[in-house]
Amino acid sequence: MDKKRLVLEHAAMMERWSALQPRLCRNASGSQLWWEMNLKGEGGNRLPIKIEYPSDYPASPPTIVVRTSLPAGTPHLLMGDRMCWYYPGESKRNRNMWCPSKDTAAMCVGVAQRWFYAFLVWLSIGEWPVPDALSSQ
Amino acid sequence: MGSFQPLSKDRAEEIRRAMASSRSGSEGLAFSETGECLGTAPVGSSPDDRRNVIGKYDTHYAN
Repeated sequence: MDKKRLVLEHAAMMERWSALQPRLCRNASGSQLWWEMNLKGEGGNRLPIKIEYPSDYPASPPTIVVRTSLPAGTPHLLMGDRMCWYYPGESKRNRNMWCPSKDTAAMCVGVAQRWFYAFLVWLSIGEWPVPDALSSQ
Repeated sequence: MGSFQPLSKDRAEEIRRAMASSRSGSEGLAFSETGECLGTAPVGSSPDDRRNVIGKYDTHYAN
């Protein structure tokens, strides 16, 4: 990721989500970057997540990873720990298309927060509250 | 495994309804600093207005 973009990413994240105290992390070689934070949910529930930048960012969107194990059968997860949150190749904005020129990892936090509320509803009443989401199950 | 406390059925239904009616870029899901869902609210244009409201696919890009 180029420096200018990284500065924008950091500014957007702190402007919108500073209350969650997001931490920008990188590996020893600096080749991988990600954010870590704990989402706050209803009833004191918390969800630790990681938002990983892919090597071809921003052409490809970040990956939102859940950093704790979830109950068996949790829907709308890919590979067991990645939130299912956009439709690759979708061309209409209202159908969850990633927009490299407008979206940042800060937007992913909002997506993750909504996912967390949906998860808590599912955990409580067995129904995922977003009707048009495609289940990965 | 993460430890999650289920919500009451009534509370879960309230949140389910709020999520179903906050699925646009203009109407979002409102929540408190502690994570309690506050129903729906208009998505404002300034960062301060938007801090605790999430619209559907809510873009936030610092210029």
